Amino acid sequence: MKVSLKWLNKYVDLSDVSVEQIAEALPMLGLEVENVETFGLKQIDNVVVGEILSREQHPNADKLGVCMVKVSPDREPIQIVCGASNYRVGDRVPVALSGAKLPTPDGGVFEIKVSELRGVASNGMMCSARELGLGTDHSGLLILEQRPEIGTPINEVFSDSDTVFEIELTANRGDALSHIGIARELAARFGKKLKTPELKYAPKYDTKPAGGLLDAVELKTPNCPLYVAASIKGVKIGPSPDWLRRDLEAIGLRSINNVVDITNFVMMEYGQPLHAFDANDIRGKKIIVRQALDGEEIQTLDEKKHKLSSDAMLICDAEGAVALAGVMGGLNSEVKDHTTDIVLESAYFNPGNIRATSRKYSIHTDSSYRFARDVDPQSTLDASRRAVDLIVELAGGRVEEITCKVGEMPRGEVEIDLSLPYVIDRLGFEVEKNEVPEAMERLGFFVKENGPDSWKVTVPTFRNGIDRPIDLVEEFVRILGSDRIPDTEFVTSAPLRNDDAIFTHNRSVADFLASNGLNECQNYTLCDSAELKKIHENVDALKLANPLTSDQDCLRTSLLDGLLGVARLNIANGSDFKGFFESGRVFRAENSGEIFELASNAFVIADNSARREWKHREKPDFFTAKKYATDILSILGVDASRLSFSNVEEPMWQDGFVAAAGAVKREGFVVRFGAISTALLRKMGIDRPVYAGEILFKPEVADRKKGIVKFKHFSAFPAAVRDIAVIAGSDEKASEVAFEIQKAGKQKMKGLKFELESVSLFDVYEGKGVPEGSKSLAFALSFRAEDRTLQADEVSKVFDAICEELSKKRKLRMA
Amino acid sequence: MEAKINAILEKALSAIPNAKTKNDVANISAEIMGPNGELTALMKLIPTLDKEQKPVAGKLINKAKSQIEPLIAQAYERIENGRMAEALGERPDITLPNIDAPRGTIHPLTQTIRRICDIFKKAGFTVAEASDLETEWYCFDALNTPADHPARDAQDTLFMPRDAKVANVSKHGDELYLLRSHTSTVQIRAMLKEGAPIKILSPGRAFRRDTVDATHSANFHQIECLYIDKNVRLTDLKAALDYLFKNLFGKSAKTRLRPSFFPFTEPSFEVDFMSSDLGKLSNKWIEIMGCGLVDPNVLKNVGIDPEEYSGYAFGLGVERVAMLMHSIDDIRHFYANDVRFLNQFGGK
Repeated sequence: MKVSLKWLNKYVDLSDVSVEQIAEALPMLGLEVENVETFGLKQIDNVVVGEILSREQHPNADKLGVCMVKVSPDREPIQIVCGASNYRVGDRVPVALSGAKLPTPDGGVFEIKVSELRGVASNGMMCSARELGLGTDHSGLLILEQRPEIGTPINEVFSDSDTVFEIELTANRGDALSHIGIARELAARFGKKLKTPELKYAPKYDTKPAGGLLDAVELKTPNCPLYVAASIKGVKIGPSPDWLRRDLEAIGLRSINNVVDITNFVMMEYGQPLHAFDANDIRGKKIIVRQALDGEEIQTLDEKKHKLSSDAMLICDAEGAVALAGVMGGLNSEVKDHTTDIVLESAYFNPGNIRATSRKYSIHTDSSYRFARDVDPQSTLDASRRAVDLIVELAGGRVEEITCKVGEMPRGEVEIDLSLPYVIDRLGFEVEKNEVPEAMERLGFFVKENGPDSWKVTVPTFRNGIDRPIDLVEEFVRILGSDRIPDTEFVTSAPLRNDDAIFTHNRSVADFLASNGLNECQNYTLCDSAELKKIHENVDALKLANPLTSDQDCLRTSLLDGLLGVARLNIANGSDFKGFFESGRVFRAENSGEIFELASNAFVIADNSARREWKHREKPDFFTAKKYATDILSILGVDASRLSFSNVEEPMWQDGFVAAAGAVKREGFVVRFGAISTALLRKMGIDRPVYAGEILFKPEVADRKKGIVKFKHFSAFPAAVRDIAVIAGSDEKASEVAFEIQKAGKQKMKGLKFELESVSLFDVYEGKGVPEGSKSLAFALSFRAEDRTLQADEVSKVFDAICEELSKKRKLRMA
Repeated sequence: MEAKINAILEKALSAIPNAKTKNDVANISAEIMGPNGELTALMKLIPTLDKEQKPVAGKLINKAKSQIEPLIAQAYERIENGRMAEALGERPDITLPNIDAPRGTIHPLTQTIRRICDIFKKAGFTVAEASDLETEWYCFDALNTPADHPARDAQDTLFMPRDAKVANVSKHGDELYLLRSHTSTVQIRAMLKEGAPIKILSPGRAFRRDTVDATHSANFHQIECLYIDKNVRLTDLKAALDYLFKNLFGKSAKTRLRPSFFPFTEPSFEVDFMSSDLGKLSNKWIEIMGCGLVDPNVLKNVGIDPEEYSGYAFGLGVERVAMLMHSIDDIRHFYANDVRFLNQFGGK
């Protein structure tokens, strides 16, 4: 919203307040200033019209003249040294007297002082246009051809200057969407008096219109609780006077004709939108306010046609719509050059309805903007009277003594109890007792004493949403100034609460993976469902009901999509990296169709570090992914050694190179790791193997009680180790063979006073000496006793027994 | 005798330090002190000597022995050290670069979140998390934002279809699921679960229906701070903000509260801060976030008595802080994940 300083001065005298002070005060009142623009001459004190009485050559400088200049009708002329040459004796020019502060092009000020120029006294400065900040002309003095009176302040000569503030308001400040509203705030801030226009027209209100222009006004929707229609006959439509035209143009409105300009002017003055109908266009002399019929059409003033649904509100005559209520007038009823009789509408429309209509049909007008922010119901009456006064004054015509008023004000004044201890308790610092009622009164509220340190505060209708003591505290701080809040010590207490486990978990995982050389990423939660389908054929993503764009129309089901994209980007850039990871939320449907929001830790490894290879290192492989995945599980509190991993057939993963375990519903987590499908990688334009892993879990899994570890005693005596190699089928799982050894061990060690403490695989061999289609798996069996060093023969005895047991099913390969 | 002993000793002194292998040492040792060794042979002669010469010869032999034995031990140690040192390989050019990947990095947004959480942890604030998927009640109604409030417009918030069923995000009534438009939702869930007093920080993602450009992103991160206790006042909020900004942007940082409006706080303010350590932005008021005293209606909505408890809340944009702190000019850098960007934020 644009506000003109000159216009504001009609309601509050700001002549002794600088533009800078206003521009600083507004934001601190909660009225954000987007822009400040000054047109014409800024207010400059001590610059007056002077007449050059004489010019002598400067004794010590060829280019300087010494002039006697009369700057006041009743003061002696003063001597000024001047370097310009475009003037003649007798010219009148702007003269900056000692103390004048001239604007400089860089935004600063240049103060004029009595001085000496090459030995000759100079008591001021005659100015060019640029020196006054009036444009860029610096070719010589600004000759005032119209010869204004000597001594006239220069601002009176260039009086059409103005400053326009562009103000952005929060949703609660409908009261400030007008010049009177802003003036009220500034008056409160600077301790000045607010002057509202004197209203001459004092109508009698009746629900039945008089004067013959209208026969009836009917309100058929709860969205219009109050409607006022004044009738004016015999107006003469014509151009607006200069002041009106100027005021409107200053805030960016176009002058149309006197009556339309007046409705706009009063809207910008009071914040109450008005609408003038040509009375002849109101068919059947009837105004009906109602909701639209589904499919009903209206052509608005901007000549656009709108097909409406029943949530839009219309102003209608006996035959149909004449305006989209509160938003825009209809093309069929606007004031025209030949209009003589007008019906002036002023109404209160429910904010929510106007906002919805304005949004739905994308019609944003000064009117809808104000109605949507709740106009003052009192101004519905006052603005109507003000507009009548101006129309009668500027366009002639006779106003009907009776104004039709239907309905009631939807809200009235609010009385709130407020006490000093309450205010101080909310603020946390002391204020003087009288500061509270003073601030309230400056805001235009009414204050009554109500016992010691207590008041009853009445909030007029222009402020909505102030109905509790805490709301008044907010108003008080606004007017008091938040700079009054003192610096105090930060008092701290520890409520003995811990960080949520999911946060701690993600922090540990990030530290772990970063320590392993991976870079953490952040990818968007929203993704393109078409792209997602290419990667996850069988996964149902949750689609948005109202996506902004089709490439962000659903929620990610995995963090890997984003990470693969990151790998692709960095490979394309030729950057050096080892891999990437991310922690975040994903959303996926389980078989039941229910969506789960799951926490995820995911990583990709696509080692792109060729440049570091001055010495050979093993490339990452499946087991790099397995290590990271199982370590993350361990951070989560899941013992991966107890999990049974199996292959899955999913298009994302390379068949046979992927391991999966867990189930969201039953176990709370699911894990996948391995090699990304080469087909997918090629489709994405990635030309090398990528290993990856993702652990999805319900966030509360991170919070599972881990239990306290109980120490288990361990033997002080050495272990005896025996190695065994087992021949297994190429496709057989090492974990199954290990399980068989353990089973045989358990069986053969029954009754013995020592144990088989571990079976660990240390070699896998295929090739010479092993039959085709088989592999040799070498395990180390470690035996230990609690109380002694084992004897070789007792170990050999049981080891042989285990081998014998195994050899019933398997071929053993003795080393 | 003495000459013989000296000859043996001389031989030992020259041969043992030159022995290449443990075998060599063993051989020399055997040659001198083994059962058939030269020194052993001399010892065997002692009984044949004169009574006066016996002790002299014995002393000389023992002295020689005590000189040779440490030489042998040293030789073994030298050879074994050498063997182990061989396993180290050639002496490296210590200026060659690392072979393995350098330490990875923590994303600058994560770092900023950690930094702020760590700053407040000292003051007793702990992290609370909740879901990204939310419902209208938690995101708006509970936060005193009525149905016809502009912030609830479908143009600004991303909604799920009416038939969407979410198994692990609870609803309050019959309402739509949406992506939370601010992390203030965590306030509501935490207060409902834990009651008052409560002192939490909620870092996380928030979502707006915004077109992506240099300063807007379809998702962004916020840290919501909430403190509810007895007698929490406006001065406490100001003190918390000063503490935060001095810790984030240096001792010179100061804050200013500018009156504003949010449905869930009363009074509400925009926070501006100023610091002398911000390059081009130094010593100017910079709008950074919204804050206020928690509206009594919000407390009522979660069953906390506003007569007994009060509190403050503020919501900080993580991207905005990170951009100011690191002089990042485009929000999209955070989501492109170019390693040339990520690697600049090593450490921590």
